[in-house]
Amino acid sequence: MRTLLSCLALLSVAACGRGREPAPDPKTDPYKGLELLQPMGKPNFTLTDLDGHDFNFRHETDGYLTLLFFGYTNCPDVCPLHMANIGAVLRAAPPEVANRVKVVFVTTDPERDSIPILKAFLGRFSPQIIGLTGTPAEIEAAEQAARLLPAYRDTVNKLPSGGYSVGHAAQVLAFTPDDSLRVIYPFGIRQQDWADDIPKLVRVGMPR
Amino acid sequence: MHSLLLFIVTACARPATPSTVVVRDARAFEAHQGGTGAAYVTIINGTDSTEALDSVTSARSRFVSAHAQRETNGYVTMTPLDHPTIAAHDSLVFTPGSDHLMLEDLDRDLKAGDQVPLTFWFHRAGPRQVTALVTPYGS
Repeated sequence: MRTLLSCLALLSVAACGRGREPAPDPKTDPYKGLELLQPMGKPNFTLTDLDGHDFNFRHETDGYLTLLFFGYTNCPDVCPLHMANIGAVLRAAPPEVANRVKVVFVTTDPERDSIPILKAFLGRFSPQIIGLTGTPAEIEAAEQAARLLPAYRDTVNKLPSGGYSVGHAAQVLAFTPDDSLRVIYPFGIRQQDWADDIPKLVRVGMPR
Repeated sequence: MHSLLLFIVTACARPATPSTVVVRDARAFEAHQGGTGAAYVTIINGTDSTEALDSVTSARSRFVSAHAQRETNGYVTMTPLDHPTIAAHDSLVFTPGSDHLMLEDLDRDLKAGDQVPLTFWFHRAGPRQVTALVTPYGS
């Protein structure tokens, strides 16, 4: 727990520090996302992909720029917007960039997000997005491994249908090909920001 | 000549605003039948009184509700907007990445180019009907 809190504190320091600074200078700060003061390692967790196979996150994404997001398909705004923006940028990117990116979407609502629903939802944005699911306990463990607070079902603000929304982490985590978490993309990041950063991120760790 | 000058000055000083309640810029994103979608509009209250949005209905969705969306400590959460008010000569904007109208239990797929009828029921002004054009997410 202490490690988790320390990591979250580090994330917060990086994010808050950036927020107080003036607009980033592209010469000294090449990313539109929030660059961590100290890169962190890639989490190790195993969930189930949409073909029903085990998917070990660290092993399956080794050497790729990996964009990790936790969300759910009934999310009306931020989840589809993140996925749509990334998908649009990957479609427009040259193959030498797009083929070096893996996008991983982990459902935070496994009870409602069946595999067919996840396939239909993610397929709308890009065939390159890897959907993962698991038991609530497995997903919470994955969130903790990624140093994120666990998602929760909002039982206070019931929806008119009687359904529920899910509070979840808003950020996309970007792990560079050297398997380091270097940049966090917060809620509100724009498509153009992804277009600017992804070509830079795929080169991190490559020999000059 | 004086009349013409007066007209020009008046026109410049007071941009045209509706003298009633107007709903405009309606749009929605693609979504699947049975799932949840989102719609966005701008509501302009051009009257001299505060207006309240009592409800929104649509033939495409059994439940339409307004939500504020905020990020707090890295979490994104939604809070229902219960009868949101719009001050006189003010506006309420629903926009991607922020406040939105949630369309639950869609009766069919929403595909780019489709049109979604929406009726906004205002406390004082009564109903306003608009049509939201469906576009792909991220467009």
